[in-house]
Amino acid sequence: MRGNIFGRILCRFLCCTFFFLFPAFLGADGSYTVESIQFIPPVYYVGDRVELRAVLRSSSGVRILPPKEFPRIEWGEFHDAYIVPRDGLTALHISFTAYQTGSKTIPNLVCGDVVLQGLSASVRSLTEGAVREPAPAHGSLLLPSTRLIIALAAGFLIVLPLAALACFIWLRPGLRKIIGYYREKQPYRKLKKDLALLRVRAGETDSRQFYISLLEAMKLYMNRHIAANCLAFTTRELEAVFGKTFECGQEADALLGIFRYGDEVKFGGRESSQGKRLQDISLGAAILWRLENSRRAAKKESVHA
Amino acid sequence: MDIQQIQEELNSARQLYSRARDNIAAVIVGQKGMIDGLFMGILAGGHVLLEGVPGLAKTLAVKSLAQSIDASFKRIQFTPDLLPADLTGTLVYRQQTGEFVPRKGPVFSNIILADEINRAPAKVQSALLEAMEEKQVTIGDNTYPLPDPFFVLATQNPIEHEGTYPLPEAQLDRFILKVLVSYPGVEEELEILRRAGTGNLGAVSRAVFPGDIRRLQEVIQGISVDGRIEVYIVSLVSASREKQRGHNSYSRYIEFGASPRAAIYLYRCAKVQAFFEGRAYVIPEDVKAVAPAVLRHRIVLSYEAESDELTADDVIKNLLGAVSVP
Repeated sequence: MRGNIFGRILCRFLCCTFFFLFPAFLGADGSYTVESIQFIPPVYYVGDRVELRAVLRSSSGVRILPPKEFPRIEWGEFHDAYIVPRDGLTALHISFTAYQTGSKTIPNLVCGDVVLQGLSASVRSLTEGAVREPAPAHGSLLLPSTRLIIALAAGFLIVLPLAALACFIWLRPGLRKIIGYYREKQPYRKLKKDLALLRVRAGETDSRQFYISLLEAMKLYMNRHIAANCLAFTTRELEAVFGKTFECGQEADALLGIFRYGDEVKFGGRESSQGKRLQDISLGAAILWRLENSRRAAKKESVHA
Repeated sequence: MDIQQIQEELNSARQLYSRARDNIAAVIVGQKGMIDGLFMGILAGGHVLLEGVPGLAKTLAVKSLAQSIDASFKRIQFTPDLLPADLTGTLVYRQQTGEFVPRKGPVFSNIILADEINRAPAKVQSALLEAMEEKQVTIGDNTYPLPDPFFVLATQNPIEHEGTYPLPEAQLDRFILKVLVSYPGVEEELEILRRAGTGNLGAVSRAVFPGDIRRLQEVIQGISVDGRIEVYIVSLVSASREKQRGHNSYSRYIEFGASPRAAIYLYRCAKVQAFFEGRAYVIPEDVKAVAPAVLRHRIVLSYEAESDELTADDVIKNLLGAVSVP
């Protein structure tokens, strides 16, 4: 009996001793309490960078500092840690990345006077709970109707040149005719334009310049319709050409007369009156107009034939 | 001096020229081109190269010209053994005085006929060509001027090239004209035959004097040449050198084109041609008329021209057809 009483008293003494002295031991180790533990993001997977936020309440005199060095962990790695004071509390932020799935124990972390212990991280797996084959690779995503537009554009690019080619082949004879018609008449149009200009300026320009322009305009026309290199022909050479070109000898002589007179003015310094100039323009224009008409008529006949 | 005055002078000068020309025409049947060429050379102040086969009255024409002008005339037959001193003269030792005295060669004449010039070696050719260019000859230590006027009329044979010394281009360039002497027509040949058969070859009388030649030259010098004609002349000559551009059909036939000297001679000859036509101004026809004779010995044809059997005249014809006249 006495022994039981003694035992009870001893037991109570030990319990009281433990109850009152244990906080003193904690205080000696750094008196603090963990207010909250939070992982950011709350759900994380292998390879994610995670921040552990531990909010601690500590008694005065207890220093809470970021760990000077992190212990090595096999399942991942620590990156950094820093302290954020918060209304009398201290928030300890520790970043880490886990490379293995499952619940992983975070080793004790010495943070100044405080040692954080008993923490664990739960690293989730994306394939957790199901064995799944990797999904096949998707093609690039396209806007609706993109394929249709591409097909239409490609078709347009292929069809357009072919259509143009077909049109060209179909229209070619007509085009050739139009171009030929334009080219055929172009020298005479130019001659008419030049002569009209000379007629206006007959009184203004000096004799030499006037006959240079007049004979050049007529030679340019003849170069296309009478002989290929009329521009390199002298008046005497033109005489031989005119003999074959003009049916009427008088017309050839009259035109040669203009050229001979022009040579005298151009190279011999002969002066010419305005009346003579206008007369030569009219005569040259009339002869070449008749030549152009007979040439066109002959061409029409040959086409009909 | 205006063109009217030049024209008046030209008309009187032409009478003088017609007299000399008719004089030669009385002896030479046909060969208008050759006679005109000889006169053109003399009036343009240059030397003429005549090319033709034997028997075409080349020598007779030159002799008649000399007689007609009343000028001293010497004929030198060029042979392979001819020496420069045979042409220009040399120093001869005079025993009586014991000194060397110059003995002037046949080159000291107004008109020289260098017959078959390509038969003499290069040193003789160059001695003559030097006299042609400088119009003076050096014998020993002294230089002697040649008489004025001084004309060399050289002949060469287009066939029988064996044993000949063809004139190099640089020396050919000294001749103002190269006149091709062709065979006479049938009627002309008949006339030659009749004259030769009766022995009535005609005689040349003195029609003009060296002083008249100088007067004619002065009149010709006064003939007006428009700026556009000058440009045309230069265009023609430079077009003959357009080988690098290669866009003209004729250019591939030309190995070497004409020199600027050709432009000068073309200018002078065009004036003479205008004089022949009785005009006091030059027109493009005059330039075209003289271009073959002035350019044919100055253009070196390419291998392509030879393979296409083209002559210098064919190429010049193309050249004239490619350049626009003013």
